[in-house]
Amino acid sequence: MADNIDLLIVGAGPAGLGAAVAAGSCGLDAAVVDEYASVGGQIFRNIQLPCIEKILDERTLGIGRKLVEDFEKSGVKFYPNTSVWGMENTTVFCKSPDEVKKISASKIIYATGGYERPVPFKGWTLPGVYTAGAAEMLFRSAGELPSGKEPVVLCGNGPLLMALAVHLTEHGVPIRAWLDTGKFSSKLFASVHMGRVFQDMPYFKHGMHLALEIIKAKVPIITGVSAVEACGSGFVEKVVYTKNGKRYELAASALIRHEGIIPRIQIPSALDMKLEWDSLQRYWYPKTDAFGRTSLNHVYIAGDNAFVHGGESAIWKGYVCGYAAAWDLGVVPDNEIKVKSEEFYRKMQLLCRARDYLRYVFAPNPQVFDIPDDTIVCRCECVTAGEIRQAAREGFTNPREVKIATRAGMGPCQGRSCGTALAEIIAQTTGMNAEQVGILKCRQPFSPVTLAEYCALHA
Amino acid sequence: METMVRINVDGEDMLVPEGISVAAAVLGHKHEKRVFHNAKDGSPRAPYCLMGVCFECMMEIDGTENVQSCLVPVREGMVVKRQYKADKE
Amino acid sequence: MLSSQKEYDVIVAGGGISGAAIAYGLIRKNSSLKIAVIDAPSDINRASRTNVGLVWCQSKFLDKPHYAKWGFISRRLFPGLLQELKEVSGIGVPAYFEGGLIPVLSGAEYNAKGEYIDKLRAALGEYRGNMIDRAELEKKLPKISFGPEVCGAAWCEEDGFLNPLALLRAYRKALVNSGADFLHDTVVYSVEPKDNAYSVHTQIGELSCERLVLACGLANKRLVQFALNDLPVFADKGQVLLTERMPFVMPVPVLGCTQTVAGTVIIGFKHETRGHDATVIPHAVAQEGAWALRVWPELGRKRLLRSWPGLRVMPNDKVAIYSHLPGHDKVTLINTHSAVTMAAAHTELVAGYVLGAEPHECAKEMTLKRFGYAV
Repeated sequence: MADNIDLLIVGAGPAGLGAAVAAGSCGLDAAVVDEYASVGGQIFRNIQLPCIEKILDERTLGIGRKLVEDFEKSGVKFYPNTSVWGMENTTVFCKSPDEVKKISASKIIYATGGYERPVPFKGWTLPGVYTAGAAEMLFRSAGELPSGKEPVVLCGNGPLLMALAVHLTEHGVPIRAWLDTGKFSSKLFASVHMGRVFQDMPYFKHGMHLALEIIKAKVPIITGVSAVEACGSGFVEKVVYTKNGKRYELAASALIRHEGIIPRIQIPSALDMKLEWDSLQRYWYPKTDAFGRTSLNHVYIAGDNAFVHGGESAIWKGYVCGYAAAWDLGVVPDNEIKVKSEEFYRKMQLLCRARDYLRYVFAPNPQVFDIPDDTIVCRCECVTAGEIRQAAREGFTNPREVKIATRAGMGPCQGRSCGTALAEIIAQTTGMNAEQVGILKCRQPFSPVTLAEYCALHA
Repeated sequence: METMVRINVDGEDMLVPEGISVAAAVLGHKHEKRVFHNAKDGSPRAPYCLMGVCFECMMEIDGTENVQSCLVPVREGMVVKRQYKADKE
Repeated sequence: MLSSQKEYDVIVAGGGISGAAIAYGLIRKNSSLKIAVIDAPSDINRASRTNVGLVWCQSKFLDKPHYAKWGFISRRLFPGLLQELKEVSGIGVPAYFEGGLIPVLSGAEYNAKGEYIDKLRAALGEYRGNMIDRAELEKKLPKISFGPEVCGAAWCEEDGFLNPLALLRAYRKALVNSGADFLHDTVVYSVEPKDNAYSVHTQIGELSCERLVLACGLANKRLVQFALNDLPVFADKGQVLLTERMPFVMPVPVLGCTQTVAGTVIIGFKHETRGHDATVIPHAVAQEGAWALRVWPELGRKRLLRSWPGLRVMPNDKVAIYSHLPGHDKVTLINTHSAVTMAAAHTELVAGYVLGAEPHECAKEMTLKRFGYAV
C-alpha cells in the first residue's frame, strides 16, 4: 500500500460510491473501505445478487446497478470486510478478517449512512422484535422471517415501513396490524410543505404505488397507539398496546418497529466534530457545508451520515463531496470543477428539497420516548429507564455522567442503541430539552478490535 | 441463477445463497429465532438490526466467538455456532 | 448583594471523589454544618471518572514512609466506611480487599522488587506482603493462565479494588441524604476573600462561606490565585484500554491489567507529561497492551470496547497536599493522585483539619510548607 493516498472513503453505500466515482474521474488516488463484503450500502445491499430482483423496484435496481458499474470502472480500489476503528490525524486504522492496517490519506470522507432510530419499548430485547431494515434484509437475502408465514405486527412511523409492508404482503406474510405511533398534528402541519414532494416525481409515484398496495392488501392501520409492548417467553408471542386509554392484545410471531432514520454520528462525535441538532427530527448531525466539509479540515461527510435525505440524494451528495475533495487538494482547477460538479449539485439540491417534506410528515412523536421505568434501555448492559431517571434525579444530568452512574452505553455498541433514548429520558426527567442534554459520545475504537490486533498495529 | 454455498450451523449442513450474511442465513434460512445470550443477564437475544449497529447477532464463526455475524458473508465450508443454549434460560 | 447569594459554613469546590469524601467527612463530624459541594460540568477534565479503582498501598514511597503509611491507614478504614456509606446512601460499593499483585517478567525484576519490599518493610516497621513465585501466584489466581515469562509477583495482602464510579455515586447520595447541597454542572469561576469570609463566584451566582475546601484537581491551580500563584501540581496523563466482559477471574487485582467487578479488563498504567493534552495516543497505550499480553496472553483474543485518557492530579513531589493556604487558615487545599486509595482517610482524618484542628500525625508533612510556603 502507498505511504499516503489522496482520499479514503469510509463506506461503500450510495454516497461513498458517488464520491469514489467523482474522485476517480478527477484522477485521485483513492480507496473505499466498507465493513461489508460487497458495495451498495443498506439501500443497494446485495444489488448484484439475482435474488434482489424480486424485491427491488425496477427504478431503484437500475440506479443502484448503474452506480455500482460506474464505481467498478472508476479505478478506485475497494477494500471489503474492512471496518474502520480508529483515526489519528490523517491515519485511519482498519481491520479485516485477515489483517489490521493503517491507511494514510490527505482527505477522508465518512459516508457511513444512517441507521434506524432505536426506540426502546417493553420487550424490545425479545427475539422476534426486529427493525424494519432487518426484516427487509432477510427478504433481500432470499430468506424470510424465522417465524415463516405467521402473522406479524408492524409498529412505528416512517417511509421504510410502507415498503416493508408491501414486501411482507408479497411474501405471503399476514400483517395483523400496523400500529401507527406518528403524531397526527405533525402530519397535518406537513401538508403545508407537500408541494416540495412534486419536485421529485419518480419518488412521489413510488410512494403512491406503495400506499395503493397497502390499501389493496387491507392492512389494518391503527392510529394513536402508545405503550407498545412485546410479550412472550423466549420470543415474541403477542403484542400489547394502548389506544384511547384501553389495552389491546394481538397474537403475533414478530414485531417490526421503525421510527425513522438518523445519521450515524458515532465517528463524528468521537472525533469531536461540531454537531448540530434538528429539533423536528430530533437527531444530531455533523455540521457541514453544502459540499460535506466538516469542522475538521481534512475530513468530509457525505450522504445520510450528514443529514437524512435518503439513498438517491446520497449519491449526488457523494459526487459533490468527491469533487470538493479533489478541488481542495488542488488537483482540479476551479472552472473545471464547476463544470463537472454543477449537474450533480443541482440534482442534490432538488432531491434534498423534495425529501425535506418527509422530515415533516414523518417527524418522530416525542411520546415514543415515554418509556416505562421497568423497560430496558441499554440492550448491552441491561440498564432500565428507571435506573436512568434515578441517576438524572441524583444530578447526573448529561449522557456521559449517566453512563458512568448506570453503565448505560458501556457495552460493545457504545450507545448506538441507547444513546438517543438516554438523552430523551434525561431531558424528560430534568426539564431540559434534548439539545441541552447533549449526546453520548463514542470513543475509539469505534468498533471492537482485539487487543492483539490493536497492539500489532501500534508496536 | 443463484449460486449456493454450503455452511454448517450448529452441526447441521445447509445450502444458502452466496453473498448473504451469516446472520441472514441463520435467521432467514435456518429459521433460528435465538442466537445469543446477553453477557449481563443471560437473556436470549436475536439479531435486531442486521446492519452492524446492535451487537445482538454475535455468533461463533470458524472458531472465533462474539463475531458480529450480520457483517460476515457466508463462505463455502464455514462453521457457525450459535452462542445460545436452551437450558440457560 | 446578589439575590442568589447563599451563606454556607463550608463550601467544597470540586465534586469528584476527593471533594465528596471530605465533604462527607465534614457532615458526619457535625451534622449541623451547612455545606455545599460544587461540581463542574462533564466536559471539564475529571480524574475521578477515569479511575481504575485500585486501593493500592504496596511497593511504593520508600523514600516517603509517612506517605506510604498514610495509604495503609486509609486502606484499613475502608471496610467501615463502605458499610457506613451503604447505610447512609443505600448504595453498596462493590469492593474486594483480598490483596494485590504486581506481576514480574524476569528474575532481575523479581530480585529488584524483593529488595525494595525488604527496605520498605524496614522503613515502615510492618509490611504485610512479599514476593511470591509463579506457583504461588497461580494459587492465588487459579483461573488465569499467565504467560510463560511471568516468574512471580509482588504481593501485598492489604491492597484491593472497588468500583470507583459507585464510590463516587455513594458519596454524592450520602451527602445529599445528610443534608448537604450538591450543585452539579456548575462552574466555579473564582474565589475572593471578603470580610472574614469567602465569596465563591459561580455560574449560578455568588455563594459565600466561612470555610472553603478546594478539591478541584488541576483547576485548583486557577482557583488558588487569590493566595498563591504557583501551585506545585502538574497534569500526569494516563491512558487505558478496556476489554469486553469476561467471566470474573480476578478477585485479587493485577496492576496494569485489572479486571473490574463488571468483568471487563482495564489495561494501562502509563504516566506521561503532556500538559493538558487529553487525547488517546494509540501507539503509547499499545505498549502497555503488549505488556499485558505477555502477562495474560488470553487477553489477545478479547475485543477492546473503548479507550480513554485521564489526567492525574500530580503534586510535584508526588505526595498528596492537604494544606491551608498562606494567610488563609480557613481555606484547605487538597491535591492528590490517589483519590480512591486515600478516600477513607480523607473522610475520617482530613475533615477535622478543615475545621481548624491540627493535621493527623501522618499528614503533618503534607502541607504546602514543604514547598517553602508559610502556612
